[in-house]
Amino acid sequence: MLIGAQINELILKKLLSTEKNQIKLFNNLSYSMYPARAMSVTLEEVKTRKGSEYLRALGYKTGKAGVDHVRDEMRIYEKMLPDRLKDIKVTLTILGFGIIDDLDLKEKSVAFSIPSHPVIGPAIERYGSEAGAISFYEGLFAAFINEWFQFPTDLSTEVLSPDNVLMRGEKRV
Amino acid sequence: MCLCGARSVFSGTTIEKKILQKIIKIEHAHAVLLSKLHYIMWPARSFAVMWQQLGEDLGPGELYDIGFKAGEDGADEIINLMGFRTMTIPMRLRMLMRMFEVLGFGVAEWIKMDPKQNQVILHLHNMPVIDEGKQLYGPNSLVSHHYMGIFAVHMRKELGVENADLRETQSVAKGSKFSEWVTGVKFK
Repeated sequence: MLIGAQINELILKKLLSTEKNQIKLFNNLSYSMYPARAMSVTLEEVKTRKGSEYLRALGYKTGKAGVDHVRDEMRIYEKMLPDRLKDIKVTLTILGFGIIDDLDLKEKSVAFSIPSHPVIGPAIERYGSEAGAISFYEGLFAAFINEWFQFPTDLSTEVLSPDNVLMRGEKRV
Repeated sequence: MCLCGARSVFSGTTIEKKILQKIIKIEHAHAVLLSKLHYIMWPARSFAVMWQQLGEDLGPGELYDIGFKAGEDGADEIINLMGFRTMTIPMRLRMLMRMFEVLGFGVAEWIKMDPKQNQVILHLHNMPVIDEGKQLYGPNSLVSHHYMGIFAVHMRKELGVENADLRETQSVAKGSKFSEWVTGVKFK
């Protein structure tokens, strides 16, 4: 897969490394992990307590924190980064937020698919198409679309199957 | 895709490391345990922002409870996948802590671990999300409460500590070099 080659390139250029058994990007951005199914449980627990709109806002804030942080670091390392590694899809993948396909960004609308997402898929299987994970990731991906393309939008989701969901949004004016 | 720096993470000679070398891979930017248990891999800052917001809106006790409840699933899967039932408690402890370390849950130092007496004192060092919480929110960081809940459920399920509710007696956010968590009354 193409992403694999890009990750390996980051390792070779020493932009992705390990320190004290932690994975670090640009020697500064620390990663942590969380069981994907457990995250779907966490998000459903939050939905029970606070509702879907709250989750959407929480996803937006979480995604924006990630994109802001990585962009700060990217500016420092910009000359070392191949252009294709500055792509939104690659950045989303490197940040661990998921892989998006078929990104269709028009003047007033955006659409993309999310195949085999490790949190969204199990959440749909367990809680159905209204799962809290969907609202959370609508907010998270909206943050990326807005920050990357200056395209403010509220995303909605069509579940084709647990392994294939579509997200769409109109540009907010 | 594979590796993502994993080769150097798992280099070493101990039995635990060699076992872990075979059971954890990095695929498609998330980690997969024994080809079955998927982990998302996010910047520590994103996790810190999320847990802090939940802590502020729901309270630290609820943040702990959500970590505990979410951890139940993961703990059951780890017990089955790693064959914990056939291992001694010390071996489970080493495996679990080594795995947590690799997954970015910090380095655990067990000051006291007596499952039969339900007495546990744990020092957690270099936890990237807790460190990020301190950097962002200073002494007001609530991030550690979520991870206390997660560690508590793993202590109960994998290590057999019946009264595994934890409270924080030393806090990174308040200036300590490590988190000190002890069994006792849960923070509310």
